[in-house]
Amino acid sequence: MSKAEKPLDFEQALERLEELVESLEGGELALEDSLRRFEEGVRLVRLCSERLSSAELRVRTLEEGVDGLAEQPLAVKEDE
Amino acid sequence: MLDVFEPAGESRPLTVSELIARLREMLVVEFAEVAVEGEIGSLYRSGAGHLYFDLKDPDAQLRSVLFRRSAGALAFIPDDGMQVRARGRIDIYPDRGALQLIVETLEPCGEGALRRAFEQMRARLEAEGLFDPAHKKPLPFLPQRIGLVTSTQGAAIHDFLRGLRARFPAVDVLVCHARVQGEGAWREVVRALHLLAAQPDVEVIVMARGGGSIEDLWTFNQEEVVRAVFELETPVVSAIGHEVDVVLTDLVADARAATPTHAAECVVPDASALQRQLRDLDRVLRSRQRALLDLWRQRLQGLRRGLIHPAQRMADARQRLRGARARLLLATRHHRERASARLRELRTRLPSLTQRGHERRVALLANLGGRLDALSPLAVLGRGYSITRRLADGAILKASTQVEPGEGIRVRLAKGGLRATVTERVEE
Repeated sequence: MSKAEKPLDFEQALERLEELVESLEGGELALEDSLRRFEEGVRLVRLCSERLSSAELRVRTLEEGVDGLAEQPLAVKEDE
Repeated sequence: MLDVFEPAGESRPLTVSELIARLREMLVVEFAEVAVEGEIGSLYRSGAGHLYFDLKDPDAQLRSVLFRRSAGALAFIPDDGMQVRARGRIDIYPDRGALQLIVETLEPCGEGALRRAFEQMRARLEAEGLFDPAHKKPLPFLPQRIGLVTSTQGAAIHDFLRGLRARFPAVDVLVCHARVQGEGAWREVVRALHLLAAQPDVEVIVMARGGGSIEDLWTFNQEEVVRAVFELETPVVSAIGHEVDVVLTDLVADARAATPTHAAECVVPDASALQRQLRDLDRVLRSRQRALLDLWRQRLQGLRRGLIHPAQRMADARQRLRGARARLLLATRHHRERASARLRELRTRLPSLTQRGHERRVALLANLGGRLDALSPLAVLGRGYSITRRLADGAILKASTQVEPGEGIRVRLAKGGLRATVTERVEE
């Protein structure tokens, strides 16, 4: 199985988003800083949304073959 | 009728020992491995730790023994009336000619026995601390990969995957098949748990099995499975049977799902709720940013107002000055007009008010003036006297000795005066 780039930690992303929103509420920030935070927030919202609506359910099975353990795709019937 | 006691070529009767030995030979080979189910009766625990009991059903009974070595490994405590499944071998004790089952493993079976065994194990493992909440590991918020231990032939896998699709479809599941019921199923479950736990990206493991009798679910009460779950580093969700079914893995697992369908709720967040939360966060983020920008814009406008060119400042001052002057003029004119009006009014009122007093004062004044004239030295001068003063200091001279010849004097007459020099001093 190919190693994908480090996947988004959804929970951390959400926490960071909440933190960003909170910090923007204060109005204490320098303009530059608030713009930076805003952009980071927008980027996180996009990443999270993409993660939510990304791939299909992926199901594989772990089976022991002649070469040891191997993953096989599992055909799961979409019953009813 | 065939005479079985005198078979051809076998004239001599066997000794008891010979017969028992031959029976034993046959039985030991034929029943070297046998499984039998029955109810325990006449249970006796010897001082050495061996268990002796009868295995019986309504019509028959079989003397059985469980030696200490095997008795010590039992997960439950056998008792009279318990339905059990025994595995072992048949043997005959020659000294009593008694047929006996040498039990290797003993398992409870049948609802009642299983329930009692369940309670016994539950109490024992609980006392050992296996169900202590302190040992429970938190489940990941959104696992990279979900391990699933279940039978790929069962319904539970479909229930669980359907639950996932409904709640958070974008996940990755790795299934490891294990028989979840029957002889030796516990070995497959334990193996599957270990295989999945060894996968680094599997962040949570779900054990799933559909509903069934307590006997069907017994694999998940087996101590080996319970201990395997307890020892895993990866958090485990136990999703066995229906809501009412409780198995020991439910108690030892890091989370319990009422059914395989519900297990999805334990291992993934609700995607639609997350979408809503994200939309809210996005909206708040944008509105806060707008508010902040407005704030900055206002600050900028405030600053711009404060930033005035000196020429403008002068023009403003000049403008203010003109205004002030105009106001001042106006005020003065008003004041003057009011004052002169008042004066006019007073002037018209004054004569009538003061006429009498005024005439009296004029008369008095003439009188006083006359009296004053009579006292004035100037009036004496009118009669021909004069006043002489030393020129130097203006001292009035009353004796000739007050001046020296040559000194200047001045003389005041009734009309005008003289300046003169003393030519001579006349004594007396």
